[in-house]
Amino acid sequence: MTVRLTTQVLHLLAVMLEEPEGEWYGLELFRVTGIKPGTGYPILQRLLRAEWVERREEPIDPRVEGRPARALYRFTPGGRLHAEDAVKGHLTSLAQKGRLKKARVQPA
Amino acid sequence: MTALLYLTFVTPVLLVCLWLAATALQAVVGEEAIGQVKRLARVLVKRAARSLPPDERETFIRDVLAELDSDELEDRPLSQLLMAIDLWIHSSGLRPGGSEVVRRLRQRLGSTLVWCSGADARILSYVPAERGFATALGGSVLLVGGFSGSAVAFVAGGRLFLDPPVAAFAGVVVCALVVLIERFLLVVEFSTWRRSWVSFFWSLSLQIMLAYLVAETVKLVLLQPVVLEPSVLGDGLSPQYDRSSEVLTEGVGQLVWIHGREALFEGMLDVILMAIVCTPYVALLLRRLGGPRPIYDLVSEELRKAE
Repeated sequence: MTVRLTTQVLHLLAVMLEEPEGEWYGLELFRVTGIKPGTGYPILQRLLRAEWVERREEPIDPRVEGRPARALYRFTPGGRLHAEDAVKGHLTSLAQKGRLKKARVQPA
Repeated sequence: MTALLYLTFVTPVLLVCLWLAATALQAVVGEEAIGQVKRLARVLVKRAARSLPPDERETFIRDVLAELDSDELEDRPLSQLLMAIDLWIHSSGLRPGGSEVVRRLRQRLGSTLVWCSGADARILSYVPAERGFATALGGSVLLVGGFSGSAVAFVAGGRLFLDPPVAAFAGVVVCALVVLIERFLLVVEFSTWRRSWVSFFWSLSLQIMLAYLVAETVKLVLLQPVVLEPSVLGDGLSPQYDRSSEVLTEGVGQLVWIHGREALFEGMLDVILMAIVCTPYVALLLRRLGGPRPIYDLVSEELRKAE
């Protein structure tokens, strides 16, 4: 399934790709990316639906920790490839735009 | 010196005052109120989850509530509430395909407002920074149109006793006319830089005429209750403002005072309403006269040269 790649989705994917094997909980991702939860949770839901990421519950005993177990998100193998392609594609297009702009500014 | 004074004295005192106020507020509202805030946050999260398909709802609510109860947010009820409000406001994004619909609606509304402002969408695509200004301008044009259209509808329905559908139609027609005229004036203003004084005064006088017409119509609605008061009705049959009844009952001095005050009130209302109607035009004019040449004009000129 495809995911609409907004700047915020790409930002979130880029942060997750810094530790491709890592697991992230929602608030941690939002804190690092600066994305607000109202935008971040829908993005995570879309990535879950598209099977780019998967969730599992934090392996803790809530009675010992005194808090409920959080949901942890990590890439699926296919999702990681999709995310890498998307971020690379975005960076390439940015670089091309930058080069074009530079060429336009430089005198002939 | 002032900055130093602020840094060394005023800021610490302000911070201490804020801390004292926060402590006092917490003591007054107590644990019960904090519990209420947390409960409200939970309710909002559950409301937001209604946008999800039923099979995803329970897991989502559990996940978000676990985050609310985490170490990071447990002792910060206000942050919990803000997060829940943010989620609730953006809950349409949780619906599969829902955010797409909202995005399209926003785009459609944005392009309509840009059209109303008279700005060229093609130029704005080169100058996205100017889009906000154009959207605000379009919003105020639409507001003025809606304002005058509804005034006309009220006058047509309430004073001329037309059927409601006819009155509404008249309102829509006037609204469209006002938007088109205002847009025309803004297009002229947007498309040329430092025009001749003659054309400037021509478009300014058109703008003032439009503003006066809208102001007069709106004033009819606002002053309608005064006009229809039984004490100022003429023969009691036709709803017209008859001053002769006042001449008979009021002393001359008092009459002058009443009419003088009324005229002053009407004049002030005229000025305020005309200022509201002229706002988009004046905003564009001030932007041109006041500051450096806007980038919109530079791009517009470059495009014209290229063509």
